[in-house]
Order: sequence, then C-alpha cells, then structure tokens
Amino acid sequence: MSTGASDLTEFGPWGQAILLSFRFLLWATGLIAAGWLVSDFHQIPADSQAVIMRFGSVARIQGAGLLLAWPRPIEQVIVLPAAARQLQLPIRRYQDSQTGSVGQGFEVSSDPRLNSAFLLTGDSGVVHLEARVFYQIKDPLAYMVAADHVEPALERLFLAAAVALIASRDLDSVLVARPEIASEASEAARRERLRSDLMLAVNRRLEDLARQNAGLGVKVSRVDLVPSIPAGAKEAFENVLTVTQDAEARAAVARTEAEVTSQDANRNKDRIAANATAAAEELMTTARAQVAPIQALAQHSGDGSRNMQLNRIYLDRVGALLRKSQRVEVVDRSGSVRTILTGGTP
Amino acid sequence: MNLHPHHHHGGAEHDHSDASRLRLSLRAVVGLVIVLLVLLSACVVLVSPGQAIVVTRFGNPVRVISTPGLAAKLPAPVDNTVVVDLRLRTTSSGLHDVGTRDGLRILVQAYIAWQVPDDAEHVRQFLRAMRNQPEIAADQLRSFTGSALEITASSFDLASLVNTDPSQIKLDQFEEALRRRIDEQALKVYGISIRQVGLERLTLGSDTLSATIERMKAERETVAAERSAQGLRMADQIRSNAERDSRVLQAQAKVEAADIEAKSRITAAGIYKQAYSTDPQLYMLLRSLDSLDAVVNPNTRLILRTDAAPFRVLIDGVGLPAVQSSRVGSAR
Repeated sequence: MSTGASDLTEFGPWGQAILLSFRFLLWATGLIAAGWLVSDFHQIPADSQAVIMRFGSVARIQGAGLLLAWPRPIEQVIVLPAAARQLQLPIRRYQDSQTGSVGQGFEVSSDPRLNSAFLLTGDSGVVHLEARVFYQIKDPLAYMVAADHVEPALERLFLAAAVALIASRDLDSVLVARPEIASEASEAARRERLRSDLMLAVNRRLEDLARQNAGLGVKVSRVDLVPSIPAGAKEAFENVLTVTQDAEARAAVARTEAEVTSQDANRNKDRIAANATAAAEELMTTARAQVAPIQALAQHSGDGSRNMQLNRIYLDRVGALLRKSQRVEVVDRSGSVRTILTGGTP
Repeated sequence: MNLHPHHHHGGAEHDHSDASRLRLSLRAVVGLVIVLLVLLSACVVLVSPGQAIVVTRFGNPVRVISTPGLAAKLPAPVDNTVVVDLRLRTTSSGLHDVGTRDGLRILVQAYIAWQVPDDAEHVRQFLRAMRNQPEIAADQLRSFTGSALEITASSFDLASLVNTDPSQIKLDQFEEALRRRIDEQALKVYGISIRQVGLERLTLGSDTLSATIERMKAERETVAAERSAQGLRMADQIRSNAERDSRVLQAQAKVEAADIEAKSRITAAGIYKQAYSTDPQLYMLLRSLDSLDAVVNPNTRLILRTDAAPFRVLIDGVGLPAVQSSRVGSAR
C-alpha cells in the first residue's frame, strides 16, 4: 500500500476521505456478494428433505447432508420433513370445549357447535370420539405447495371419513358396549378393522384430490381412536354388566343350594334303602327265629314226650305272658269265684 | 472513476494510459451488465408452483401464466402482474339445520375443497368476480354451500345417511350431489372448481342428541332388568329342579324300600309256611303265643276263666293237662 499512500497525498484531505469511503464500500459490497453466493448452502438434518426450486420450477429433491444451491433468486431451498417422518395431527375439533373424561364419559353441550365429537352410529346411537392422525409426506412438491393448508384440510377429510364410517356401523362395531352383541365374531372383526378402515377412507379422499391435481402430498399412515359412550348412558351400559354378574352370582348360589339338596336327597335315599334292607333282614331273622323251635321240635316228632314238651312250651310262654301284663283277673265260669293276681310292674 | 491516475514508479507514459483505459472499459462493461440485468429483471416474471401470474397491460389482463419458471413481460408501467393463488383450500359451510325427505331435522356441516382451476379463462373469471381475494370467495362459497345443503338434504331420507346396512347408505351420493350443485355455479360465476365435498358433521340438535342418549340409556336399563329377571328365574329353576330331582329320588328310594319289604315279607311268609308244613300243631301254638306276646304289654289286664288253663289247676288240682284255648281280654 506504499504506492496507495503516496497516491493519496495528491488528492488533498477531501479527496483522500472520499477515496477511503469508496474503498470501504467496495470491500463491503464484495463481502455481501460473497455472503449472498453462499446463502443457500444448507445442512439438511436426517429427519428432513429439501426441495430445490430453480426459477420457480423444481430442480431436485435432496435428502439429508450438505446442500449446495445457487443463491436466490436463482434457486430457492425449501426444507420439508423427510418422507419417513411420522407427522401427527390431533383432531382439534373433537377436543374443543368438551367436558368429561374417557372414564366418566363426555357430556353433551347445549350448544350443538360444541358437540362435534358426538357421532351418530348406524343403529341410531351416539358415540364420542377422540382421535389423532399420523401422516407422512408422499409427494414433497404437492406438500410444499399446499403448505399450511395441509393440516386444516386433512382434519376435515378425517372428520368426513369418520362421519361416513361411524354412520354405517352399529355401536358395537365401534366399541364394546353391549356384551350380548359385542361378543359376536363379526363385530369383533369390524372393531379391529375400524381404525384401518378409517385410515383407508381418509386416504381414498386424499387420492381423489391427487387425481384432480389438487393433492395435499400426504398419506395417512395410522389413526389412533378413542371411542367412548356419552356420559348420560355410560352408567346404564356398565350397569348391565353389573346386573349380569349379579345374576350369574345368584345362579351360582342356586347351584350350590341345588347341590346341597341333591346330596341330602342322595343321603336320604341311601338311608331309606339301608333302613328297608335292615327291616327286611330283621323280619326274616325274626321269622327264622320264630320258626327255629318248630324246626327243632319237628325233628323229635313221633317221640312220646312231644305232648309234654308242647305243654312245657305252653306253660313257659303263658307264664311269661301273664307276668308281662299289668294285672290278670280270673273269674269262675259261674262267676262265684274271683281271683285277682297282680301281674308285672304296672 | 479513476482512483489511480498516476504511478510515479510505473513504466512508460503510454503504458500507463493504456492500462488506465483498459480498466475504464472493464468498469464500463460491468456497469452495463448491471444496468442490463436491472432492465431484464423488469421484463421477467417468476412463476412458482401453485400460483398463476396474470399479466395486465395498462390494467387489462392479457395473459395468464401458470407454468412454473421464468416468463417474459414488458417492463413496469406497461405490463403489471397479479399473482393468483391456485392452491387447494377447504372451507366449511358451518352448521346447518336441514330437513330430510322423511321430514326429520338434522344438523349437517359440509366442507368444500376448492381451487381456482389451472386455465386462463377461469383464472381471469376469478380475478374479475372475486377481486383475487380467497377470503371473499370462501365467504360466498360458505353461504352458497349452506343453501345447497338444505336443498340436497331434502332429497335424502335419514335412513340413507345413517344405517347399519352399508348398501342402504347413500352418503357418497349425497356428497356428489352437493358437489355437483355447487361446482356448476361456482365455476360459472366465480371461476372456482369444487374438487371435493364431504360431510364433516352429521348430527342431531342438542335436545334430540340428549334424548337419543336417554333412549340408549333406557334400552340398557331394559336389558339390565331382563338380565336380572333371567338371573332370578334361572336361580329359581335350578333350585326347583334340584328339589324335584330330590323328591323323585326319595320317592324312588321309598318304592325300592317297599319292594325290599314286600320281598322280605314273602320270604318270611315262605319261612313260616315251611315251618307250618313241618308241624302245624306246634306252629299254631307258637304263632298264637307269639301273637299274644305281641298284644300283651305291661298295661294289659287279662281276665281269664278259672276253668281255663293254666288256672284250672287252681280249681281242679292235678288233672289231665291239656292245651285249650283261653279267652283273652285286654283293657287299659
């Protein structure tokens, strides 16, 4: 700069000041120009992708890594979420101004505008929904164009799909409400399919828009749904379960009692049979006992002492008989003699 | 512009002036390029995806460019540009109380997905009719959709909107009918195309909704009562069945007992008969005595004649002993 310094002396103080200002401006402009040239150098994170537009039309789409692009207005870089990233959209319309909880049930508001979350089922019932939609970017260009219209539109598409789907199903193909119906296999299968059906319905609407070159550039990958019975009816629905349990408990008690009755009856039966057998045995034993002397004596038939034995038996037995009675009175045939003998203990 | 006119320690005088002339011309070229770029930028318009550029010449729209990229135009005071948004927008109709064909009142709310179609005629139409203001368009479409909803709903039964039989549901037709009705008018009047229509709400008034929930509740209460009654009936049935079975079992036991008794009596009778046939006289004596033995008890009073055995001995002394019948009386 020694030459510059020697030059400057020729212009005088004002000339020197102007010359220095110009030099400063030149340097500043040069720096700004350099900054402008590298202004569209970007680092694209792993969860993102970049769309590079050259003079308004899409030049290329680049994934994660270092991105070198021409500065504006030649090229424009728009960073979007990567295709694999799961974006979530809570359905705000269902959440607005609701009172209650899943456990207690949600209450119907007197303002119909606040009852968005209550949907009509095909069997003229009402079900409350809470939902969250997960979506992915399918067409980065369309997504970039639609930009901030994507979520409001997606929410509306979801609401319409949900209205149509719930209106064609009964309550038990949405959630387990009535055990007598809900336990049917077809209902269980439809309940399992509910979320995927809803996802397909929203995607159908998205595809319909894409066919008309008005796509949002997204596809729904999952729908999380929390259906519940509204507060007013929830208790009655649960009460059926309680009553069913009570009824089953009552039946179980009755079965226990029936078992006891049955056991008693069997015991009685056994007792009656045993008694009867015992009585029969006794009867026969008595008979045998009673005829035993006859058999014994009959062996001595023809013996001279038979009559004596008969008499003896007679006297033994009669004596015992008379002893057994309270009193024995003896009267004369003509009635003149009367003998009173005291018998056994009165 | 020449900041370095002199170089005292430089070469020959003409060399010095040549270099300075070259620098001057270089600077002139750079300046010219910048001026040309500025002029060019005034003659170029950048079209982004999702938008159309309407080129107006002295206010009159002459061209519509919707292909993304660069396009040429005349500079500022002659040609001006207006950007028209071609992106898809969704607008809600708001909640409408409408009547169905079967005379029921329902609350419906539809959304319409609309956009200005990508053709010159409709872009111009939109510019003229809506002054290129999507908010005004949305507002007018909202009211238009509201009235279209009323008309469309009146040709559908509630049962064709809400039904467990999927073949009965005509929601698709409803949406398509509504779309057609709005689309035709919107395209003609506003230059707007309706891409999709959906029913985002289909519900009942608050009172009816509450009544519906009450009905669901009442239905469940009926079921609860049925369940309860069934439970009681079942319990009673179990008990009465058990009691019946028990009685039957005991009755059978008694029948069997009677049978056993009868058989034992027959056997006993057989034993007696055999004994009788062995020695009738002895049998009769012993059986009579057995009978007497069964009849006489400690409360019995016996009144006998003195001439009957064995008391005859009291009167007759030693005589011929003989077994004779005795008269037996009993009294308490």
